Amino acid sequence: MSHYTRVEVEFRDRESLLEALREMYGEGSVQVHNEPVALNNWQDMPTALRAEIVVRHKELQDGSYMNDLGFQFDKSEDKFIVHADSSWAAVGDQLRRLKRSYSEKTTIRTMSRKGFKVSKRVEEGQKVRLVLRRG
Amino acid sequence: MLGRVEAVIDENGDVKIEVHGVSGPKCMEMTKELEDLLGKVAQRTKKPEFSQSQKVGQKAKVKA
Repeated sequence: MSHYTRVEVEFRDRESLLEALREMYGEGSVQVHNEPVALNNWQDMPTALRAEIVVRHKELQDGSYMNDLGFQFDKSEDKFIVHADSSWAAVGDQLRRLKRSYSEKTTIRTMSRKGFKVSKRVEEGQKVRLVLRRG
Repeated sequence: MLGRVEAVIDENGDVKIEVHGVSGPKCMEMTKELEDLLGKVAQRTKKPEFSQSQKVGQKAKVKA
């Protein structure tokens, strides 16, 4: 081994984020807007929060009484800021699941551009180990 | 340039990336884009092998 790096995940790759969201909530549940739109509260009234990528609260698990889930791109930080309702009971679990999916998709997508393919994938509880080789 | 990349994604989605079989700057270049897209680098450690082949290469040049 010549180096190892530990990375704290942030949503930076738009395509991987969209793929992970569509896988979790369904193809038609993820709205993509050119400009940020208002996120609604549980009564479908607009809030002050805005985002380009939106999952309306009714599409979320146990989401009837919470706000929409949104991802707003921050150009200065070059990443998506997550707007998630902290009163949503499942928010922690759902975001962790989304991050795991995002990380796996980003790893495979990015390394495939460099000629790498997944040669081994092992699930260890909630952890996933990927081995990628060229060719 | 061959090499093997291992990525361990933990329960929070954070990732530990290990590169095997590649040394020197090429090793860092191999995963630079991936690190940028995954998020914020919290730790980066170079292993002894990182500079091993460079030193071997330098010695070989001196001998020649």
